[in-house]
Amino acid sequence: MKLEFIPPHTLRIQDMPELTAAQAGTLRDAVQKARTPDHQRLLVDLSQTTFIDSSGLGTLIALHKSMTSSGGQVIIYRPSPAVQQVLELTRLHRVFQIETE
Amino acid sequence: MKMANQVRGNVFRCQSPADLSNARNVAIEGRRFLEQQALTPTELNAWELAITEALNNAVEHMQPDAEPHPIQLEILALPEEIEVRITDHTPGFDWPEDPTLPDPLSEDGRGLFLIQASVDIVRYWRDKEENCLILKRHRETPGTDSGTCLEDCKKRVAELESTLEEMTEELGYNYEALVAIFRRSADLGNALDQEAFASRVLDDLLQITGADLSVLRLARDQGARLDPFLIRSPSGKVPKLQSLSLTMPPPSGSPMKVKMGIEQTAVHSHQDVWFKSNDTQWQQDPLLQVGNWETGLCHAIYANQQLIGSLTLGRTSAETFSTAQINLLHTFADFLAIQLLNARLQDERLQTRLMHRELEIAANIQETLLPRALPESTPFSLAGSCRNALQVGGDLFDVLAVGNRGILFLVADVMGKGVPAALFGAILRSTVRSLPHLHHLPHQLLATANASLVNDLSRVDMFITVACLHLDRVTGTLTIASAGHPPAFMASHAGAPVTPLGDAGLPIGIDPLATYTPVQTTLGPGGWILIHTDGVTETRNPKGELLGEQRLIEWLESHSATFSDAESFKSGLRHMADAFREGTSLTDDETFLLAVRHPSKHNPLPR
Repeated sequence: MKLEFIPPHTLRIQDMPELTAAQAGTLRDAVQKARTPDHQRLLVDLSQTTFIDSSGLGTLIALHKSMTSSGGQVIIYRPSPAVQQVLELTRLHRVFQIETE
Repeated sequence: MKMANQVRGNVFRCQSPADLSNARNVAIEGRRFLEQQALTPTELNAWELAITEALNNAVEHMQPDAEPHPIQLEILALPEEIEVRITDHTPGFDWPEDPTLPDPLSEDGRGLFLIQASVDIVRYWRDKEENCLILKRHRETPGTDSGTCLEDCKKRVAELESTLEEMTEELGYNYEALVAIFRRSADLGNALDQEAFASRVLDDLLQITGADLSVLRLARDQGARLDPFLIRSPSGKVPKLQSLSLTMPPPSGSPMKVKMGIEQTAVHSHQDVWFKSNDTQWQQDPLLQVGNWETGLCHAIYANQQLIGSLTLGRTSAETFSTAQINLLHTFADFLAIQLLNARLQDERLQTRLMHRELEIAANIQETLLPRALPESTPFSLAGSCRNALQVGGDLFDVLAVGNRGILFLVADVMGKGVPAALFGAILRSTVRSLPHLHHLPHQLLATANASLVNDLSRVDMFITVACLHLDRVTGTLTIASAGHPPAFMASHAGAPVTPLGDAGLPIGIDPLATYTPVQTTLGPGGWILIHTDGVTETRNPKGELLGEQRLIEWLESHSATFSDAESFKSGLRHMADAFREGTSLTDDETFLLAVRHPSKHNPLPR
């Protein structure tokens, strides 16, 4: 897992091979620690993520709720085909903002 | 408790402690198994998701203070469908008929939905302490029948076992071979002779390959023939084999059809030849004399494209050689070849070293024989020069006082090389010195020396050319006798023309009854005489031209008057020869003696 600040407002998370129950807590803690009021955008790079389960989805939703409550947003960035499939299956592709650029 | 998995044919079983991390690992192992069942990526992703969710569920529903039971995953890869069973030991839960998605912003509650969406059939069987979740999904590509799968496995195992057996056998041979080779390599340090060494190597090979017939031949005469070297036969009675000629058979189309034997065929074709005693093709072959070859293999041994010999191995029993054994034959042949080549090389090096040493010794002998100091010679000055080429050792000169007014000059060239030539030179010198009563009679001196040495010289096919002079210092009278030697050159007085001197008879060592004719002349003031060996006139320049007598005479004519004494004359002559050679080295010993009469008319009496 890697966190990177991209000025002016973006915090980017990447290099998570999978997003499951095991990683849920780690991700939440990492974001909480790194995040500052400056960070309005949370860019979750799922291009390298080959597996996501319901716990992983739950974590993304938690992040989404946390960001939007303070005026920010969560962007799902370049989800891998496996992740895209699960997002569509659970209709969460309408809830998250997904960017492929 | 550790994760333990088991695959038997098309069944996968895995069990692990019930925690989220292990649950995920089990799901990954399950996916690995399914990958081997040739499922599509879509099916694999679906199964991985379903299994992960189901196992997570099993973990999450565990009672905190209950006894830790493992979670269990079973996968059956049936021909038409995949069936997954997950067993848990929790109180269980109610599986809704039709799981639906929760509120979009809900963080939980999607697990059952995802499982249902990933598979075709879901059944949840609940029992008191144990529950079983059964998931099924139809296969997109049918799998193999479990029955054939077993047959396939059995066949595969048999194949693998057979390969393993072969590899073990080969490994065993290679190990034995290596040990044998190492042992023999150690033997080399003990300086065994060639035959004993090759004999041991051959015996090792016979033992390891279980062969009982063997013929080793070595190439001789630059590969012109194969000579028998070692023969092994179980009967103990070893026939004497003839040498085999290897000269190329005449080109096809010639009337004479040459029949090549087994070993010759192997050598010429560079390929191994298999044969048996009852082959009609090889009926008269000499190899068949060695024993009854139920199976035979002939291998030509080459090293660095050079033919070393041939190694033939065989058995009196009908079992042919395995690939491993054939490889061994090649390996041992190569090993032997290298050792023999090495031995040959060492021999040659040794020969060269010995030859060099011999020539060094010859040169040393020669040097000790040259006179340390020249005798009193007024009114003449004397000088002697002897320069060696390392390759020979046959020239010598000697200068002796005769009475109180005579000088005997001797210049000799032994035809031959090395220590023998130098030794004969020494014998000649001693013989001459032992005949002082003949020192004023050079022709008789030569005849007597010849009679004394002719038998020994002709026995070793050597001869000696000699020029022998007696000079009377008072009168200036010169008497010369020559045994096959190049003529001396002289000028009778200052300004006189250069003339050759000496009526050559036979060299010493040819005819026991040879006689010699003395020639007399006189040296006046400024006169000189030069006695030399053919190393002076036969020296060559870089272009390959000989100095020759003519050039020498021309030089003497123009330069002799410039030298007032023998020493300067000697230097001049040496320089001239060096200049002619243009710095290239001597190829023959260069030896000469000079006597120069002082130019003054005043003729002091000798003391």
